Amino acid sequence: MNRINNEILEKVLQVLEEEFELERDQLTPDVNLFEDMELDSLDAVDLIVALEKLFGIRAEEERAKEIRTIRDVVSFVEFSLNQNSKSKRAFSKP
Amino acid sequence: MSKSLRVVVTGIGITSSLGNTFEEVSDSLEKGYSRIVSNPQRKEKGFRSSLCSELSIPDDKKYKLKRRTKKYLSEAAYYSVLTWLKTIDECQLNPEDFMGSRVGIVVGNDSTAGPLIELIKTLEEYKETHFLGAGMVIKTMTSCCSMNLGPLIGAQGINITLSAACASSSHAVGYGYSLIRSGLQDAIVTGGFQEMNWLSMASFDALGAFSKNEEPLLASRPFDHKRDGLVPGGGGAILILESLERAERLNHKIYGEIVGYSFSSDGSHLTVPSGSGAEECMRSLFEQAKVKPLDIDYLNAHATSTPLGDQVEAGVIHRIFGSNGPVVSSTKSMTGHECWMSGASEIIYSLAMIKNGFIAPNINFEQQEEDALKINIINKTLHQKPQLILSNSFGFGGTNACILLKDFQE
Repeated sequence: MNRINNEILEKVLQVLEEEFELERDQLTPDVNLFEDMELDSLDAVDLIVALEKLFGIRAEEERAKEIRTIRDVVSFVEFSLNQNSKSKRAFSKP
Repeated sequence: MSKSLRVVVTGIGITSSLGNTFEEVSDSLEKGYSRIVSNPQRKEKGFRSSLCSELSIPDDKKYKLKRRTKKYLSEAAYYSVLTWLKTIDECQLNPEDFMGSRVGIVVGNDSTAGPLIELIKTLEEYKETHFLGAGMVIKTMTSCCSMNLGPLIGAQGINITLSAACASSSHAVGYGYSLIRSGLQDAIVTGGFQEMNWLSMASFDALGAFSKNEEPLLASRPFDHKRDGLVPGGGGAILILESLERAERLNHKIYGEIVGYSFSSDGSHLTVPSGSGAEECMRSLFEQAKVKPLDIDYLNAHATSTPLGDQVEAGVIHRIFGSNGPVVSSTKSMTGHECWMSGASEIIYSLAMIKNGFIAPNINFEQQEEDALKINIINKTLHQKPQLILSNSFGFGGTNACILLKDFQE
């Protein structure tokens, strides 16, 4: 199992708490956001937009569809940050 | 008449400038209270009139509205969801009784401008629709209220929003009544909702339809010779309609009976009422409900405080009833014009008068124009219980709706 980036994890947990009112003590890295936390496809759209706005990234939508767990969310953010710095695709954070 | 064909009101919820519960609102109506203010933001936005009514909504934490729910709510839909939860709570109803295919939702709403402020701001900042997220599409649809009420209530019958300008929710109540009368539904959650943000009222203000009176509390004065325009108001109004058979079976408290709904259209001008359309609507109501005009003891007028509309309505009332007709008042003198919500809210105001035995005044009314046909407008509360009430609602496009309400008797 890959080591998780704690700095990103902390921000992701904050988004999940604030946007979806999820309880922090339930948010372990391998919890499934859809099956265990009952997020739906509309929530998934808003989760991605919230992360993009927070991290100043623009995600690849195909990759976003693969997200299931919190660990997936963190690696998705890491990947997007890398991709965006390479391609300069990121928008400037307002 | 069979009990399955009689339609009674068994639940009431109200979020209005007159109060946040049925009893609070009733008390305000009886005292002739009003909460009309001058809102400085409207002047900043270039409005001709800064007047509007004001809500004071207590903390909604009691109802545990989740943030995930709130993100799909426009201002009007927020009033709809909050008012539904209050209805169930205050009327001590079991929410499970409103699930299933025999219960429907028919509400009135005709705009959802508020979320567009956020939509345009987001697009200007991020330059991509993607950043609007998932909630915006729900929030910006006119059916936002019925859409959100559906999953919240669990009703599986009809789910629809009716839009008919300022007669929207009067038609919604009437259509709900008709669905029960026809046996297609046993219960209908109906009502009307009106957003109050500046954007929703900007284009109405552009018409010069709003009062410019410098004394906010004196500005809404339907039928009075010094009226100079309406004052916009808003909030949320919910009524639960049930067949008498179902209401008795479930042992629900009955607030009143709906005994008629009529509709007509002017078919003439977009904004200028013909008068003949409203007259046709009232006359067809009497015919359908088999009542004589003089059986009506209170008429809750549509009168909004505009110079022309009130004059036309007073003329029609005079033509139908003569000079000795029913007591008339426009509760818009206290609430301002609650537009899409007004049909439903004014039925609630009328039911408060039935329940608590009074007729609310048309505050600020001094006298009609010199040459006007005089009707029986009251500017002081009457301490008598109305038995049969006619509620008028008219809207742009010349759409007319009348509802006939009765004190419930076995």
